[in-house]
Amino acid sequence: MIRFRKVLTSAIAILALLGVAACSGSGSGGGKSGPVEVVTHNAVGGGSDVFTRQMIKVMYDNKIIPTQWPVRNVPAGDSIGAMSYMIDRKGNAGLLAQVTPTWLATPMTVANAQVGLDMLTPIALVATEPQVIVTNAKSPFNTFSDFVAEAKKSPDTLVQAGGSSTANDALTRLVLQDTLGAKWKFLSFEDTGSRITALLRNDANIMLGSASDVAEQVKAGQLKVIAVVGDQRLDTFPDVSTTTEQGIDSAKVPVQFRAVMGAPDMPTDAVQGYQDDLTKMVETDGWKTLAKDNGLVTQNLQDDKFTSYLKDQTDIVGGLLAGLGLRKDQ
Amino acid sequence: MNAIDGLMSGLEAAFTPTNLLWLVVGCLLGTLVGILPGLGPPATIAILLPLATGFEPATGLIMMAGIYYGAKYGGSTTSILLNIPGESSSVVTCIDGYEMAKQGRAGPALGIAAIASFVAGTIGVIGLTFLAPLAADVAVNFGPPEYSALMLFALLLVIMLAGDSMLKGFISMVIGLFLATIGTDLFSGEQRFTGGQIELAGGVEFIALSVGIFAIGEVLVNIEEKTEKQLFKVPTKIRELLPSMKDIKQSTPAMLQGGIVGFIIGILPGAGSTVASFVSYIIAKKTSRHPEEFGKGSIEGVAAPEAANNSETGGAMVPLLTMGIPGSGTGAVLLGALVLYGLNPGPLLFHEHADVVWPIIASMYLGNVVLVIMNLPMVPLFAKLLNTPYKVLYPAILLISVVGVYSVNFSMFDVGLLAVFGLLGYVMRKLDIPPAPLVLAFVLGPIAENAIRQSLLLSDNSPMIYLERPISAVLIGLAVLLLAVLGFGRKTRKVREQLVDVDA
Repeated sequence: MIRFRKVLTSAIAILALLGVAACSGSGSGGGKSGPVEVVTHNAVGGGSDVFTRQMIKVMYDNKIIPTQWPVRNVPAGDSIGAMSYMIDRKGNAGLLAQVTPTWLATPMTVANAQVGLDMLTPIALVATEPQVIVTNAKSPFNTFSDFVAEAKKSPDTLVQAGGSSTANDALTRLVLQDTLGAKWKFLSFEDTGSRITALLRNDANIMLGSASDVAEQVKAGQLKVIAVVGDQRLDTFPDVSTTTEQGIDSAKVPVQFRAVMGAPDMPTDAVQGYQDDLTKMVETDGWKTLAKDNGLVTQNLQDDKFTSYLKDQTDIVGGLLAGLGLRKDQ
Repeated sequence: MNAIDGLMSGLEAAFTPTNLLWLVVGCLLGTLVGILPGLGPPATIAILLPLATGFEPATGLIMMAGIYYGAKYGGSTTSILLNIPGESSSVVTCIDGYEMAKQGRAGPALGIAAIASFVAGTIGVIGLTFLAPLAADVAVNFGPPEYSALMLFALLLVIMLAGDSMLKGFISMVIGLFLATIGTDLFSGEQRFTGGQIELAGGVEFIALSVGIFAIGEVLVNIEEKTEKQLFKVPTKIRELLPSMKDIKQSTPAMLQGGIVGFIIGILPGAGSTVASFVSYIIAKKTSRHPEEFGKGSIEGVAAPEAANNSETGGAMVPLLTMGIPGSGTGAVLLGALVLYGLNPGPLLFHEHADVVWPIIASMYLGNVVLVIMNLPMVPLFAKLLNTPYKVLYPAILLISVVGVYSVNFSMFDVGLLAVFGLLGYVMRKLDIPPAPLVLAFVLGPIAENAIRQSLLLSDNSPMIYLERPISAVLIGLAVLLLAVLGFGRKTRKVREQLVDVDA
């Protein structure tokens, strides 16, 4: 009897140790692996998580940073949890976050969120990620204008596959429908994979997403890109015209961006250090390949330029959410 | 490259000392995290990513895949021994596995789980090897109406799990469906039933719900009974700690059936191992020579869901490797790993990176062998753990539950939820309401809701869309048939039970 009790006790001890080891593994990150930690609001494998890891890898491979910074995934509350984590660690010189427009929008949709992007320390807006508009390769639409013309002819019959109603692609649809006077349906799916299969099955006619979401399907000849949203062509699809070129005004469309921000009240010399690191990073070949593969446009906006860009985007997104009746922070 | 050539070249590439070493490491780690509730394969792979991205892509992915399917071998352990389902696919294993443990047959239950995992895991990989292109077509053609019909079918099966009272099964299912609606609505962005709690915006954490209702509820009921008697009988003979030839023979049809069902359902992104495990359980029950044993400690009731759960891995790799579409949380992590290796998962992966894809597939055959060799000797050891007085066992269950739930999101709120669901589980046991339909409905609810709303949006609210598409029409037909059988079958069973009573 006593022997079995011992076995159980030691088994529990092992389990507990494993648990502790696991927590510290994914957790604090400090100590041996370096003093810097980068927070993302995605679970491992999500778009932001993968981008963060790629960015760190480029900096490490080019000896801009001495160690691979650990990534901390705080997926709770779709950026609210990640932001709270940052705000709880005020003044920390080694705490960064890779920020996307979700960080801007989600706090606006929650009453008493007590967190907000304006509480974090701006470091740099590394890149923007213009959305591309794709269709099934066999679809009759060869430009977005074709799609719009059809949507005007028969309103509310064409279908756009997308994410949640507050995601960037959904908000973009609202802006475009408004400026174009056309109407089409929006079909929400949890993940990008289901949006792509909806196009392949012809359940949906178009989808808006980042170039990296669809590059492989385009290469395989299953999907085709009919426009890049905005006024800048992408290196990934150099032959595809922009919505501006197709005569569609998209100035008021919210832009997907990838920025780096620090904990509140981060010391200025630390901010300067990270800004220098990122400026070096965007000059490397590794970054240029990454940008091309992911359909990113390098920006490296810092200081005033970053804050005023952020303000513009806050106004655009805030206005759209208010229009949907989802603004809960006012 | 055809499948045979690919597999041969893959085996050759996988058979290097380095790859084999990391395969064993992956399988071992997978088994360990599978045993622990909470810390699942995604978190484990995440911790190892910085290390693994330093490896050759094939080596790193072989190890990570090992963690993925290794965890499924370990997942049954706490379900059988302690009634703690560590993941949604182990919920069904609790039903008969824990009953077997109470009857002193924990060893055979754990043993058959390992053997079924091996047999069906291998069936799944064979499917992946030879049927991948065909299977990918099926996955693409499964749209919202098809998912709606599948979920309707599945929810009917859930009620069938209930056992004696269909009404109680229905009540349990409705509570589960309600709990599934908590969180942010995908379509409108509105918060539903969250009471303004940010922690609930992403929905109720599954591990807190399932561990609370199953494990904590069970502990509470037993504490109340103040039983001094030994809860579990543990045989002393080593032979009785492993499944007998008779057990294996009896479970063989369930294993094979589970292997096939698991692969087919695994192909569909989102449906996954949970649906696979209980569809297979129901089929096993309906085709068994001893259906009356199900729910009371049937060894086939352990073999079937565990088989389906493991062959699902092979199925789930199909959309991941052929289209770059992950079917599950772990799939998403593996997808991220592929991107970090610069492999760009998508329709061209098989052509452009055959040198990486085939060794991974080949390693899955080897990994299943490694896992069954690794797991079977542990069975007697684990089975003997139950020979512990409840004064030690209950605090241990509580400790493992709290640590497990906390480690999912590092959230104290989730630990609070665990306590609430523990009480719910206790009340349900007191009222004799089966917990399994609740937990399964919680998993299926969001898939059903999204699919139904997507379908109706496509058809401008016309329900005809379900009958216009062939796959969904067939599934709806099956569901109607099932409903008829359900009503009729119950009457005959009641009559049979009464006859048995008279005999006794």
